[in-house]
Amino acid sequence: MERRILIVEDEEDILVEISFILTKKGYSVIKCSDGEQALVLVKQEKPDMIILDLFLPKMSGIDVSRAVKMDDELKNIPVLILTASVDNIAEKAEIAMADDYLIKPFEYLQLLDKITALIKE
Amino acid sequence: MREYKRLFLKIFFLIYFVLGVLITFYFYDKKLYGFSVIFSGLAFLSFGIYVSFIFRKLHEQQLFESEERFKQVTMVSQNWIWELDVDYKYKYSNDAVKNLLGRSPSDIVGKHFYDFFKNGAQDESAKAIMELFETGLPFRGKLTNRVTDENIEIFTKVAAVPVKNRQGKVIGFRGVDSDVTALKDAEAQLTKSRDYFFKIINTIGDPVFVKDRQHRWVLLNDAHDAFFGYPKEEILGKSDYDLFPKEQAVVFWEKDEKVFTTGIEDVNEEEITDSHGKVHTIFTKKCLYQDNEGNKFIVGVIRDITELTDAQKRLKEAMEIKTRFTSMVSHELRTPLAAIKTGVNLVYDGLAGNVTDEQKMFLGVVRRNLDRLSRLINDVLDFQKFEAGKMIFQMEKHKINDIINEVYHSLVSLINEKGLTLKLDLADDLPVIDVDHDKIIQVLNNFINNAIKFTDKGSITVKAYRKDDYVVTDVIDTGIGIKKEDLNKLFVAFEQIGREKNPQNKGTGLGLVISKEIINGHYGKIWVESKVGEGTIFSFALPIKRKV
Repeated sequence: MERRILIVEDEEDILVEISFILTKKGYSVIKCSDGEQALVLVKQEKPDMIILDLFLPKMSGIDVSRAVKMDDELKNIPVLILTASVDNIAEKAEIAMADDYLIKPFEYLQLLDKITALIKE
Repeated sequence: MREYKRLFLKIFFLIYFVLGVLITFYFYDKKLYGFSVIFSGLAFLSFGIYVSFIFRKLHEQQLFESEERFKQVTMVSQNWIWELDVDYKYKYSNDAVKNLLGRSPSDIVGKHFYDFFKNGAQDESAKAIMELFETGLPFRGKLTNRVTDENIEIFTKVAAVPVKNRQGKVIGFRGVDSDVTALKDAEAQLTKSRDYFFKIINTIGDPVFVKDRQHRWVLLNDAHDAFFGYPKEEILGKSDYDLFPKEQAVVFWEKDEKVFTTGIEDVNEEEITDSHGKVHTIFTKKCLYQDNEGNKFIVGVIRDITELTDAQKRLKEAMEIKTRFTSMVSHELRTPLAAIKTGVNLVYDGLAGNVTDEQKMFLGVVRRNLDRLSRLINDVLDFQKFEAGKMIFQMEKHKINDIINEVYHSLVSLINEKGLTLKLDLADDLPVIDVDHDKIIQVLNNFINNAIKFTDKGSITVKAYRKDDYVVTDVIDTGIGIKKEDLNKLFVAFEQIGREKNPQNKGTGLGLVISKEIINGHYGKIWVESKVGEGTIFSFALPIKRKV
């Protein structure tokens, strides 16, 4: 079955690149560029995984992630935080209750490794 | 002899009296009354003389004692006792004058009263005493400055009583000079040290004050006047309530009271309003002082740190802006860098279609420079973090060997690519220690990358062993080595030694500085040893027991 990944990223260029790679690797991609819409899409689509930027319009990545993790129906969806912010990132990821994080700039191979690991779990 | 003569006369008159009485009775018996009356008269006369001898003796005895007393007193007296005649010439002087004026009594007698003053008849203190003599009344305690035979000025206090004749006319003076030079010197010394004290406290540029137990100002220096804009005279004797608004005064009073009761010095920053209404930030240090009689005082020194505080505030703001700026810049740089890096890698790896070798070569250049840019951003960010004291350590228990192995696997291919060998020499009995895993990896990466950079052939060895209470890790290379004079530049920010042409290897000059901060954060030690042409050993030691 084709795995569906929701990418939440307000940087259009990065959004395009990631979806290109994921599509190439056989994932189905749902694109989104603001926090509020992201939460709507999670509930609606119930993706297999979420790749989430932290600085987002309307609703921050941390709030989106917490909302997902607090929801009994959604809490099993793995959340990978992707951010350029390196200050206290481990702490932020913990607050967000995210499953893992990756710092920009990243190696796309590393991104793929993390996705594989999280979806397997 | 005189005594014998007197005794003889006494006996003579006594015998004469007895004989007179006997002869009187004899003539009375013979009824020769005329003779009897004459002899009885003689007998009474003799008796009278005899009695007068006895009284005179008593009187002489008293006179003698009184004279003796006077003589002895004048002899032992340290004070100069003298007598002046009607012309104010010395009639008498005791021996004490030797000590006082260095002259013998015989030098004094016959000289005029004025002769022993510094300026003779013109001397002010001599004139003053002369005026007192003229009144013909006794006086005492008058200060004079006399001179010795060596013309040294001395100070005495004079007391005198007039000598009067039977008609009550003043015919001279008797008096005493007591030496008060030592007293006068002590007084001068006191004045001097008082002047000295005031000069010093008035030279101090910071306001100084002393308050008594009733919280009243009892001493203030000039700087205090200048600072508060109130002259001392206005403040002395007053308390905080007279000078400051009530709400400020209450606070000051309480703080002072605490110093009085606890004796613990008080150091604090306060805001006060001066006489012009300007608010100052002052740093005050107050200490308790207790004098010999047990009276308590507060001694305080004030430092106006208004400007300093402002400067500090501005500095803090500037530092915060710098931190925010660096953090913002690095964040804002990372995002486009991420887009570029991912894009280039996609193309390089052929995900977006076939790439020719030449295209790939130039994409490689782009990739290397992107890595360099990433390193630079990371280093600057790390540097800024520890500089702002924001580097957070996440300490966990780890085996150093595990960490070294992790680094080994990530770097071994890069090392082999350069034709070098990477060797491990790890002791297997090393204890588990508290470390920040990621940060120690950063240090090891930095050490090994440096070694790769400066080693063209040979090997790089990572050695781990225990030494005393530390686990030591050495990174040993067979590279070009570092000159002795360059060794101390290694751990200084933005210092770079040995320029590298390959941009992939170019550093920021921050790597070792950050490593040092990381090891310091672990309460460890970091050092380097090197020999030009032979190689370099970078080492760090981490404590086995966690230090507080």
